[in-house]
Amino acid sequence: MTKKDFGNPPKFAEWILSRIYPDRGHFTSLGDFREEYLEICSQSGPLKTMLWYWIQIAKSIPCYLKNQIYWRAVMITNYLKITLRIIKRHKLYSFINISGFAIGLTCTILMLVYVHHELSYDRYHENAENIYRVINKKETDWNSLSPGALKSALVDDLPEVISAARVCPWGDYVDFKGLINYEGNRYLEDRFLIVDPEFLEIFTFPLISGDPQTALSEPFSVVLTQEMAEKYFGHEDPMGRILKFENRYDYKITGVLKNVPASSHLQFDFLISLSTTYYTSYRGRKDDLINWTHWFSATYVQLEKGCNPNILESKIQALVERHIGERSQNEFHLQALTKIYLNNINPPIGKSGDIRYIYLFSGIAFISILIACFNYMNLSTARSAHRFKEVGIRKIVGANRLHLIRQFLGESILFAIISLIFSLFLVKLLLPAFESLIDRELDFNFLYDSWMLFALICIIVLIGTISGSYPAFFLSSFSPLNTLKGGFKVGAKKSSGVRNSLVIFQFVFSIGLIICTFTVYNQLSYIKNRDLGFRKDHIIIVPAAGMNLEKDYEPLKNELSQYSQITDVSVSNKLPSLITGGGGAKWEGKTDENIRFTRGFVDYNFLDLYGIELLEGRNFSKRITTDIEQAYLLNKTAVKAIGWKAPIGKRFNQWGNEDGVVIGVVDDFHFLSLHRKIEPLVLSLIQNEWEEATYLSIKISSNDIADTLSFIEKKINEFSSEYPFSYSFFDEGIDRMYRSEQTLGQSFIYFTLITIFVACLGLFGLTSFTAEQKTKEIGIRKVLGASVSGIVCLLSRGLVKWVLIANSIAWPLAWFFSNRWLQNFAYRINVNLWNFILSAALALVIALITVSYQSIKAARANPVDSLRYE
Amino acid sequence: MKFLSRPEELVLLAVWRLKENAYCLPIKKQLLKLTKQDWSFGAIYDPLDRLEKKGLLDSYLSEPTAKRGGKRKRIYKLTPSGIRALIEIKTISDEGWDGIRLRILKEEL
Repeated sequence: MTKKDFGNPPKFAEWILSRIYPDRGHFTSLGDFREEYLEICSQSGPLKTMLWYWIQIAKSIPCYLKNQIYWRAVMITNYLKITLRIIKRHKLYSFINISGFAIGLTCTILMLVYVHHELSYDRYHENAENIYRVINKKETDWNSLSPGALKSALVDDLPEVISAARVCPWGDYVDFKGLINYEGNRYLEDRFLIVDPEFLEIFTFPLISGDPQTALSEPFSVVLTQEMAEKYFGHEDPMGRILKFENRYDYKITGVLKNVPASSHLQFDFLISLSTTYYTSYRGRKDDLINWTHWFSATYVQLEKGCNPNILESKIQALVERHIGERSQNEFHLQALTKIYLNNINPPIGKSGDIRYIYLFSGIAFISILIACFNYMNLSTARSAHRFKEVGIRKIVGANRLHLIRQFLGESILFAIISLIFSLFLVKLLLPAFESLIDRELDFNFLYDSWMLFALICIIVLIGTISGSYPAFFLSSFSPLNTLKGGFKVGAKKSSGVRNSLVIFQFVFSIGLIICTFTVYNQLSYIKNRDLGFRKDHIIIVPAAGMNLEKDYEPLKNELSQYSQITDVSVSNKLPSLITGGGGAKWEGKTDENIRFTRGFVDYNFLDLYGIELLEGRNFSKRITTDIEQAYLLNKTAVKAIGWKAPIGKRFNQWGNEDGVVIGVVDDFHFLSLHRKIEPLVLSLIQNEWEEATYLSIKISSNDIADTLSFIEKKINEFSSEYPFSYSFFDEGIDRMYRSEQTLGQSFIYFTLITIFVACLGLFGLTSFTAEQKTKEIGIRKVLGASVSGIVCLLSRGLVKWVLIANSIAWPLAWFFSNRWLQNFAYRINVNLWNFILSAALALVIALITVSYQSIKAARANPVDSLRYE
Repeated sequence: MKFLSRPEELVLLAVWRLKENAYCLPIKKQLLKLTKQDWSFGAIYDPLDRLEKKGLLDSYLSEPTAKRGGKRKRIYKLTPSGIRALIEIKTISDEGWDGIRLRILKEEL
């Protein structure tokens, strides 16, 4: 090696040296070191020299650090002191900034708590990452159920599948209730799941007593939760006791579970062994849950660690096709357990969340915090005149731009921290209201939740930086010469452009939100008031479970009709607000499986009771006895789907004998939710299929509902002593169908109000500063004869311009988002231009009211006061 | 007059001895020769700064050289008051030591 290679000290070491030597390093000291290095190098070799160099650096570091920390601390105390003085002295400014941030932060924290809750579902299972649900897709329809035989085929044929379990709900209709008898006490329960024994291995639902391996292997075994155990047995040991279900079968209690956590999408009080259905049948056949043709159960699988679910999906597909012996129309997929809650597909098993809410709340939290940030930017640049002298002096004393930027950023972060303290109180205060608004149980404990704490720190730093960045950049740019000379007017003009555009953005958000709120509100009232095609008032629904209606219906109906307040009684398998289940049909000798006809089983007077209109033909008639087996009523959509011009008397049947005939056509009514288009519907008499009878509908008149109810209870109990009496109002059930929409609408209105309030705060602050700046101008104008109204106009003129510009941006955005939301509904309002105009006017009025206080105050001021010092 | 500290005295003397070439490194070498101790850069710059502040030294930057990686040298020069200070020190110490032989001191050990 030549000497030249060691001629210079290592680059990195020299760089460190230059860092810790900032003022002198550029000139002489580094050179001195280098020269010394050469000297030592020529005497004692490169290695030693290198060592010497590094030792020199190591020696200088402690002192350097001490100085750094000390002087930083001195400066930080100074910055802190200045900021606190500003907060104290400029009360309006501080109030607007802190309350804006606090409101924005409150929204953000509530949103975080909510999102955290929604994302936390099913994560507590030990094997959470390896548990999947087998789902499938037929064309565009997803289905959560799979054939019952799939489970054992998966475990036997695919080595990647460690374990699998079928899960199916008990009872197939929505408000199903099961009857349980224990020592003469009757209970109605609705949280049952029928599961394989492997269920307890795959999922983490720990047993308090009982053996998880065997608890669910025997037929007629039931495992219940601790809560239920206490409800039924108090402090006694429930193990081995017998519960009678549906007055038919005795189930033995083989285990007690810890209560199911709220963050599980599977919710239940009772687990029933699936093998029970081999003896009792699930939906009528004893092999319902073990063949390849009936799709009644969901299949959950636990895969080996590290197994790729995408590869397995194709294996499952091949497996199914091998077993059914033909190509399957269904495409099989695996859905990760942790994703099920937010994307629970039909039919939903367990709880499901709504990802739309997550988007909505995140969006609104973001907007509210952004508006608060804009307020801060606007106010701190608008009143920059107050800081010019400080900036000038600091620069002269030796602060460079970086120091000043750091100072102003620190200031905005301090504002954010103070606001955070307020907003934590607000969150504690508002959490119960928020919980009831979105119908969830949330827990908020940021001190114990490192995730939350981390998120809060990030948000504070982020909003501090965003809102502080522009003021810091702007304020630090002044030259000390100008600021101290008093020529700050130039600087103030420069920032007003940015300020105006920020205000315009605030208006864009506000107007956009107002328009969306109108749209949501209009659509919701449209749903509420839309003629569904049937009557919904004064109808009481009584579940028919436990009644022998084939024998008792006529006598029961007669007895009920005796009562003067009861005008009509009918029976059906579904209610007109939600009819599901159906399939293909035959007509005029040909079979068509492509058109799906939903099937309803109804009584003779069903159409009259619900006020469903008959368009053509006749209703079912008691006098024509063949009606029971042969008569069909179609809805208008069904006739159109078939393409008949004159449907009456045409041959038609669905799952029935070949002599079926269409006797009438009913008007379309909304038997599905308004999210979906009306589909073809077939009605036939329930007298042919008594086991389908599910609901009694009782129409009453409006007087004395309490008395009527007690009469109904008495009569029903005479015919069904097994079940405790239960009832519901038909219209309440319909309202429940749209509850998620109602919640959405309400949340939207609240959040819009909050956001507009924050924006108004900012506008108020901004006008007060502009009015202050224009004091002299106003004084001179008044002396020259300007009127108060003229001056108010002058001060508000800019505002009108801003609102107009904001409208031109907000309208397309609002149109886009409202339209997208409306796409969720098959029946929807059109986006209304009047909403847009109304929103614009509303925004303008709110803005004018906000500024009017300040501008009128400024305009009424006596010019003598404002011009006195001239 | 103001008294100088011992390091200041030594540095001042070294600068005078080095004449035109008085910058940090030669001073360091000179001091090493005289005191048999390695002086750190800090220990030299500190007295240099103080002497400059007291007006006994003057400094200017030389042209950058390649040997020093393009860095300039800060070269020091005695001001008249610096020279006066040296004279004073010499006088005082000469008078103070007058008639004392080194041998006598060593015998007391």
